[in-house]
Amino acid sequence: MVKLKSNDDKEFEVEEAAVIQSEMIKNMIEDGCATSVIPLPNIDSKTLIKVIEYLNKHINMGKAAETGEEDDLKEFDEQFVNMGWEELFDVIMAANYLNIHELMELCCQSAADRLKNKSVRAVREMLKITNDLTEEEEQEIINDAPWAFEGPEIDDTVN
Amino acid sequence: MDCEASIPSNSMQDSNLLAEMVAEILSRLPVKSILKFRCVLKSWLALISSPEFIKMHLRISGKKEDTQHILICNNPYFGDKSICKECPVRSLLYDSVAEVFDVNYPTGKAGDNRVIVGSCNGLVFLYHYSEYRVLWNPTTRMYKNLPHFRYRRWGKFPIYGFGYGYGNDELHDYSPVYGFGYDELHDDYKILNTLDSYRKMSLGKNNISFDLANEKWEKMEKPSYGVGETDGEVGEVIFLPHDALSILNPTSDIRAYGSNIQWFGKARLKTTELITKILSRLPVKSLLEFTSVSKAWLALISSPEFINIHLSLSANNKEDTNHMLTVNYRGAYKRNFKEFPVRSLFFDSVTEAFDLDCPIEYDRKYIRILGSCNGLIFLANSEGYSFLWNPTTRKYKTLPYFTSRWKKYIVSYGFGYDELHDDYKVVGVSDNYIMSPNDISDDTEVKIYSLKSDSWTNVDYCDEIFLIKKNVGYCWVTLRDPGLFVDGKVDWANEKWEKVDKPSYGVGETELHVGKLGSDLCVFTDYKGSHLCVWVMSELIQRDLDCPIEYDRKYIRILGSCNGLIFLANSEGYSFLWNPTTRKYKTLPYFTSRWKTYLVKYGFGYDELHDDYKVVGVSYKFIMRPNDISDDTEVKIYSLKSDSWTNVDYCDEAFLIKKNVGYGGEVLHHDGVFVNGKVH
Repeated sequence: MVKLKSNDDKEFEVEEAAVIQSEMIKNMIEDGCATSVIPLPNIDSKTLIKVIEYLNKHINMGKAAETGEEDDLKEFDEQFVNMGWEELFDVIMAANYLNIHELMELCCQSAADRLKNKSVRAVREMLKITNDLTEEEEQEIINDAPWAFEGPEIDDTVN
Repeated sequence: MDCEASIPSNSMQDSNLLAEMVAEILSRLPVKSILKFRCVLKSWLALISSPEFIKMHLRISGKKEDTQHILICNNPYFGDKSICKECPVRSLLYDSVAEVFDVNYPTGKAGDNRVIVGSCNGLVFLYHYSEYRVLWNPTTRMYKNLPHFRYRRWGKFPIYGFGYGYGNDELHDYSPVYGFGYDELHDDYKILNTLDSYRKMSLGKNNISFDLANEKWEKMEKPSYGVGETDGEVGEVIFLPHDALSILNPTSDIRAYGSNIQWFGKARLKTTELITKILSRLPVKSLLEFTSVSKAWLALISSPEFINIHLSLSANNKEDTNHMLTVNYRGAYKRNFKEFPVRSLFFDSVTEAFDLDCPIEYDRKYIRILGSCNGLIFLANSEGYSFLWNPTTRKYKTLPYFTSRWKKYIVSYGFGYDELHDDYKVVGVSDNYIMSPNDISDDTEVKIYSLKSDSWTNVDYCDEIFLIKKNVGYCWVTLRDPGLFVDGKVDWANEKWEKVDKPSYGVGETELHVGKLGSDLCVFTDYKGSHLCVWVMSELIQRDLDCPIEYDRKYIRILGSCNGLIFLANSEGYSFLWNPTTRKYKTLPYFTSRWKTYLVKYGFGYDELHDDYKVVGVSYKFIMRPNDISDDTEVKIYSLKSDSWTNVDYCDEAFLIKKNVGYGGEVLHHDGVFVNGKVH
């Protein structure tokens, strides 16, 4: 068992088999630096719980393929990314920090899927971005590849 | 080991990190969204335009199956039309019929002799022998004109022009072979040009490379193996992704060497095998177009082996390829053929029907669909002419005229595929035409038409059953869309042969009818009005069924079957549902019409929506002269649940077919609906 500490000083016990999916922690363990509690100053406990949930489910990925639990895992992944933007960003940050490749891939793809086919306005709204382009600049971009602005797009900001 | 240092500090949580995450997310979007989202924020515009982001996107999207597309273009010296299509690799792998999209060339005129030299990382190098050399990104629709290759620099070689291929006329003294690819070592895209000199001059070969970074053509050192070794064999020089330059030898293998210009591998690839694999998954329309890609493709697509592969592949996916063909017989002078996908009936709320142009010219007005098999449709008109028609390829063939030994005769046909002889056959059974129905003649003449020999042959009457079984086949009324019928040759040999015992009762005493039981062909006999025997041709099961229906058995006919239920009607207007397994039957309420004399045509099927078996009866006024076919028709539907006939609005024909007749059975004979014989 490995102990992880979030930035709000809560400790979590995780199986070593699960936690070594994080390249960062794996390296620490290999270097013999994980004897006591591993402090994670970038991750709050809410996000850490999410990450640990993922890690526990994804222990022995190879085994799942053999036992035909792939669909189950797929379903879990789908459920897992079903969260708000802020939460998703937190998990992406944590995955990047902990260097968990699969989780990073999953969350980034989910984020990309949410943005796909959305209108520019919807993207700004979803990500709470204030437009800093002038109308002329914007028109120039549109003229550059007008086909990209054609066809159906979703103006809905709901995930 | 300083363990404290191995824990990354908090300071990472800044705007740089955030930008990095945004890049991670955006790089997973399709190109269209990315180009659009340049509008979101200045920093996004800067990010998306940066070479680092482009590379990141390329790296991530390159791994995904759904970003790989195949570009199919024709050989400019073959056919006058420019063809350029793209097809997602994913669709080729997983769809029974792959999607194909039209692609517009970025520059040049419609009929230009362009050659696609190669592609790499989504970039395509395109050249016209005299006008232009273009680097083109079909995804972003952007392109870049490249400067002329100044061959004068190699002044001592007289070069008259450029050609693609190995012609030896004045214009093609040189056969430059272009190659295009990504040079990872120098992080640059490069174009390679091999000048293959005309042999008489024995000038050897030169490799000239175009460097995109400094936009210059430069002479390149020959690779160590020497191009000459593949003399005359080199079809195309291409760069493969992952820093490999390769020379494609059309005879068998791809020879590849790395950016350091050394052999690094030799992979065998039978190109025709690969092309066959790809093409066999394309829809017929594309295939017909692609016959003009090159002579080799024309030969491939027309070959019986290919047709065979294509047919078996497309037949596997019934949902996508099964189409329903309907004919409107309402107008006396016009036949409107319409088709719609069976899939649409199942899944779409509104089924879209497409007009089908029947190419058969003469006497269209009395033409009837009599059967179909592997996408071929057999039709006959009232004057004794019969036709085979492939609606997918729009080709048709008129069969030789069916002649009989009688002056007046009635012919009934069956159409199917003979697996043993790999031939499509039509069975024609002619009866002496006698006016009074009680005088049905025992004498029958049977002829078989073979597509291979294109002639009718008389057949021993006794062998009829055997004939029907083996030569007409099982797939009597299966209409599959992509059945390919080219030049009358269809190869689908599957050596299966099993002997069938003749029926036990005397042949001479019975009138045999060919019918359909579910998807199987059956023969049923009306044994002098005393027995009705049904003979199912499925998996060689022979079943003599004793029909329990009492009255007026002798003119009873099987008109349809579905889920083991058989629908019969007799000549006096009574109809029955019969379950041969339980031996129970039910007499349906009498079908009444508003006319005094009328004809009724029935269709029987299962209505999945209402979980009900339904019979459609179409009645029209009986007029002796066939030219006076009345447009007026009355349509009624019988529901087994309610056990009654209901009038149906006639205009709602499509609705009828969809909702009330159900999904199977050969339904609505005369009203012209011809449905795939498979039930469920």
